[in-house]
Amino acid sequence: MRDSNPEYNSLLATIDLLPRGRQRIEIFQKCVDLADKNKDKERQIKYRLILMDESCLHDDSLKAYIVFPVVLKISDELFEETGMRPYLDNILWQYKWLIEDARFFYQVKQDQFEKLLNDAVIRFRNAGYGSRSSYLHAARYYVYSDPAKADEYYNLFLATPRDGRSDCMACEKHAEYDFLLSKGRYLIAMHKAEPLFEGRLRCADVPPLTYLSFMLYYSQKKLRGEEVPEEVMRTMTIYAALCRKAFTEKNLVIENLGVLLTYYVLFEPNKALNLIKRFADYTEKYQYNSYGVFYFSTGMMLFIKYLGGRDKYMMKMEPSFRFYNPDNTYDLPEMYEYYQSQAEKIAEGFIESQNNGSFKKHLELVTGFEG
Amino acid sequence: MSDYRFKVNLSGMIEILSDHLYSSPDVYIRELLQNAVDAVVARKKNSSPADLAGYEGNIDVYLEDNTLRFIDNGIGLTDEEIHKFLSIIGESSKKQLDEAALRSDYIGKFGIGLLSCFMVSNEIVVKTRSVRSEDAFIWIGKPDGTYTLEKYAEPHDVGTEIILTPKPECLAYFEPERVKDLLLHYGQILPYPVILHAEGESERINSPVLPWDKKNVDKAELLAYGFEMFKTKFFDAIVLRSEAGDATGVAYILPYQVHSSAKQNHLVYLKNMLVTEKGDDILPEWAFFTKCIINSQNLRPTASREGFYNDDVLEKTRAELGKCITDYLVSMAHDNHALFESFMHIHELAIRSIACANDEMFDTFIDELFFHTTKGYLTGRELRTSGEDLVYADISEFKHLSQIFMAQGRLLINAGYVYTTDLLDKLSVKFDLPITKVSVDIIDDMLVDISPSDSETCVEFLTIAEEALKGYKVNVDMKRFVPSDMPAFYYIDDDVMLYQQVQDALSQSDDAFSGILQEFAATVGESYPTVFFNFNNPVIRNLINCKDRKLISDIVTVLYIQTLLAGDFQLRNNELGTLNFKLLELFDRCI
Repeated sequence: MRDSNPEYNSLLATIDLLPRGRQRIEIFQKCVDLADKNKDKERQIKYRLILMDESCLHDDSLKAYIVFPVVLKISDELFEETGMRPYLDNILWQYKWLIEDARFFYQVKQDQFEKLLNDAVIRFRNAGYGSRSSYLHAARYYVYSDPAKADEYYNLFLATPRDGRSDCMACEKHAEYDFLLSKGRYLIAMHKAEPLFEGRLRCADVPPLTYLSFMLYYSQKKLRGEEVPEEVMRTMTIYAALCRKAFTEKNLVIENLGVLLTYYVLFEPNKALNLIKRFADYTEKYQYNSYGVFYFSTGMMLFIKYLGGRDKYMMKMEPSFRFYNPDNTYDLPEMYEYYQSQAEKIAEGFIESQNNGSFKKHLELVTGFEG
Repeated sequence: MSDYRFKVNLSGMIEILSDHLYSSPDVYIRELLQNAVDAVVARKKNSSPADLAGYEGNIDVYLEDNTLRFIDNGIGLTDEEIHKFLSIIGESSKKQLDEAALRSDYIGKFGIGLLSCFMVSNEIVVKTRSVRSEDAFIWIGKPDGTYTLEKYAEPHDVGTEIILTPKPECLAYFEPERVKDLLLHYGQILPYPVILHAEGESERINSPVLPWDKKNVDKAELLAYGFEMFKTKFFDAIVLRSEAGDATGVAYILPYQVHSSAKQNHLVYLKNMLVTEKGDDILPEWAFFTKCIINSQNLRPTASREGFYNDDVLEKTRAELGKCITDYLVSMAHDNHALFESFMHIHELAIRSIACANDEMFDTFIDELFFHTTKGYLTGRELRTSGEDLVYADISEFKHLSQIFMAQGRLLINAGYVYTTDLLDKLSVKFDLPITKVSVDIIDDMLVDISPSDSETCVEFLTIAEEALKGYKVNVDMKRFVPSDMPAFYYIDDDVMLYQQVQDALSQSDDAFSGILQEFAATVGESYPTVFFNFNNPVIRNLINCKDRKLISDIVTVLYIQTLLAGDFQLRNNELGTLNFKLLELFDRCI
């Protein structure tokens, strides 16, 4: 990556050699600071968009919510001054991500979400685009809290033709699958997702995200005490390995890690500990992503339950682990209490702000699970 | 119920081969070379020592009048074998051999190689005489699935000659330069002479002995070979050996930095025949800073023969080849430190990334890696044996904390460099060292509390300072610290930073986002940075005793903005304007 301005180029000198994640985010943050200092509006937008891109995909997407309002403000100012809107397509593309990610944060209340969506729809329309993908993500936002509204948005999605600002075909198919699965329409969801499961349709995130939705569906079945067919379990073993690889290579949005952990504890418990070790500092690192912390915490609760009511457990953890103890002995009730309180806080938050009780239900399944 | 047999549409098959199995029609040369080598091997295997006296396998390629003749002096085929092997797709003369024999002696296996010639020619003519027969035969195959076979009247040596005439659109694949390049590409390390006869000249294409297989390997020769193959002046070359894959080769160290996810497209040969030039699986992932040539006798090729099955043998081979590289680098670090330093100069980023991902590599290199600290550049060894508390800070924190750490002779590691925190985490686990990120508590320890009686004298000053800095949303406190010429110190931790970012966004956001950001701000929790004034500093001491509230207020504001500038913190509230204004006021008072 290069910039025609040498000041930025010196900051970007090693960017192409770095893996996605924290290191690159720090460099782009410096570019943003420099652009702010120089009051270079185009670059203020450009580097904020890159920062959002990196943080949405490879870090905590909270950062995207902090950065994006400033992008919109600068873009509007620039339009006032010059009549031009540089990076408009990118701005709209990332706006859609914010709409999609809203369901991961209990802080985004329903009335705020509506404001956000309305603003986005207007901006899309002004740029000559429809809001097909945003409608589908709105349907997902409401799927547990207001089914009628969810259906309304789903119908709007179906009625809006695809255009240049729609999600890629694979992502769209996955989002629709996830929505239908959440609605309990298993057969039609599986039918819709056929091209994804068969590998005919894929992108950077899909089908691993689809596998995770599938695994969460069957994990919850198991938590409810329902039987999971043998062939489904065999299939999930492969899906889990592929997802694990995607997480390790930092190719998969991190908020879904807890879903994989939940699956491992329930179906392949021997593999759970390695995942926990690898992402030991998850709740600290991504502490503001409610969805991610919730599923990671409930996954940890299940893991502690799996250890069978013991008080102490020996495991070698990294120092970044919240409960790190150099003598490798861990107090399980203390850990359980911590993760339970994290999950409870988030579940309550979702009920309070979004009227979404699905997290509470999942937590109840986890606490009531006897193995 | 009746049993029926599938019928195969040959032209459809050829389309499948060209569109889905083979990456390019170029591979027809590889398939011809492969069959020729297998024929020579078969002749050697199936003849008595007496019959083989003076025998040497040869492959000759003639290009005349746009026609390619590919001749080997291998085992040849009888008429029965022609019907069986040339005319049944998927049938191979090597099928009857067990897996072990196939692996050790032959390259081909699937019986589809000759079909690749239909990608470039509308007719395949095969003249052949078996070592077991006096009669020679001519077989002519067409892509529509028909073929003819008859005795060849003219005398013919033992071996096989394949004649191809190009399709009009495939003339380019028969140009002498192209054929030479392809022969070189696929047959460079074949153990039998491959001779191209074209444009009135004959030229041996392949080298008789490979530079890495010589008893005394010459580094200059290896590097020259690398230059010839890749047109790159490599930094260094490492000889590779693997028992599991029965493989030998060379890994060249790239002379420039590469991304850790860069694919190096290694050249991988199976029994001296190029199988793939995109062999990314043959070396461990961490070896991305090398480009290699490997010749294996024992890996299992896929049907397209453009890759290998990812089985145990490949895994072991990969590990053994990786070990050759680590062993070499370790010995380089010990025996030729100047070269190692040059290597690190180019590939330190790579080595840091490897050390993070691979425990063995971490053990190997950690003592040699450099860390930027308040005590200069220290190696991993120096860090772990320093006996000091290992505290690190990210680059911006390091910048403004380093002065105070240096003045107190304390060690602070700059974690702004790539992979530093991951390496420190590993260092901590491996050597059981407590390593911590700088925090308010650590800073608090370094800034000494003042006595209750001194504290009493500061109450007035701190009240005025708090009032003066109210608009900047900072906490104020009084401590003692060195260096004493530093009047104030500004500290902001990650949580405060995040809170500030949310507040900044809030101040710039419209209705659509403000509610959401307010909720985020509440979750993050209200917190502010702190300005610590230094009780040891003479200016501060004078201010404490000063009775002029306005003067204290102005100087405190100036000192605060100075600390921001010294620490390279982002200015948000027209601080520069304020600084300018306050300084002018102060000058005015002095005058």
